[in-house]
Amino acid sequence: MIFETIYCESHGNRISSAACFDCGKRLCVECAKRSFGRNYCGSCEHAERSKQRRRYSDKLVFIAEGRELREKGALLLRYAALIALSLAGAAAALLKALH
Amino acid sequence: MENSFAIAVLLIIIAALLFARYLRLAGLLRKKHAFLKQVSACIIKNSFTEAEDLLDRKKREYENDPAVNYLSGYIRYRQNRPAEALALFLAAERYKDPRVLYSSGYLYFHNEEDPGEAMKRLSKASSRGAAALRAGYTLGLLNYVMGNTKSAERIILRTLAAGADNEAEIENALGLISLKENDPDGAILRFKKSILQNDGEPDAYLNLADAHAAKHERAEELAMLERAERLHPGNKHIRLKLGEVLAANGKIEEALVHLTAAIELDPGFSLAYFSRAGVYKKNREADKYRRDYEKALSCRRRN
Repeated sequence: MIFETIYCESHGNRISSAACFDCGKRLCVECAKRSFGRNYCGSCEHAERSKQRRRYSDKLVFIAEGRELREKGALLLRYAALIALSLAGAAAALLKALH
Repeated sequence: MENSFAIAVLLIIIAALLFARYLRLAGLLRKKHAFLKQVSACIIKNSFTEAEDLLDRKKREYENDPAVNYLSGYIRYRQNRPAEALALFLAAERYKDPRVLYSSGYLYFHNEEDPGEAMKRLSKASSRGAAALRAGYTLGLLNYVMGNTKSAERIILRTLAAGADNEAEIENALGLISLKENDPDGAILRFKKSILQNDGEPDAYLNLADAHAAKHERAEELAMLERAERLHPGNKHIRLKLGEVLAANGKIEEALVHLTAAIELDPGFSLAYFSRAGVYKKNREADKYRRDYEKALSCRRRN
């Protein structure tokens, strides 16, 4: 046999799909716990979470100031450009008519 | 000549119509901004139900508006509905508002535990706008969690230099970075600074205890945790840590008191059940060990 099937170390009859990032234990889908993109077995995941548990604080802060000024500016700019263009065209046409 | 005159009149009429349309749209925009301001004021006052009522009333008028989606998302987050909050933030993302990118990045980091998506958004949000300092701090923490301590330190120091107002949190995070880089002395200095800035921050006490433990200063570690426990008797994390340290020092009875207190403070606290199970195992109390271990697993499944 060229390829050997690897089985889960906790559930011998299930095919292993991952290995624990810390201890290398072979894990099936049910045993693998994902944390920050890595697979862990139950006890290593517990240890990893214990290490990372609430050591820093970070809260989602509400920021009231948004894009209001930008929205106002964009509207003003768009219409100012169109109005200026129309008026310039009108001025040119009037000059032509007077000559 | 007549043709040119007619064109000029036509263009003047078009300019007048454009001006009228501008005035109408500017009025609508002013009305929308006043409404957003009203909802924001409710959020700042923590009146989330009132804010939600206001948003519901204008639901049809401002459907899919990115600013409204941001406010609704933040309200959902504060109401402990992070999945709904993230969906709303993602819906608001197409306008690349830095505060929206910061919020979705924050949720990808803390709730979804998806560092790739979080990094992408936080990097953009930390470069500009009103959310830059807060996003920079969160990005630094993300780098720290991912093990990129050098980047984490650089980013967090940059937010500190730029005038971030969460100095206690920042000093605490810098202490953690020093601790990860095997510099417990540097870490102790940072954690002490953090405690000086904000005595009510229990994380810094827990970390300071860890820094003393890293220097094998067991007495200082225990003293720090006991001081933290006196200051924050209702903090389950401090109770848990104190219980674990007492157990490691062989003070089993005292350890059980604190671990039980941690469980009483939060009956769904799986880590405390795990730790108490460990103490029972050490004490050769098999039944209690099994009961706590199973409880810990069931709590974790529920979470």
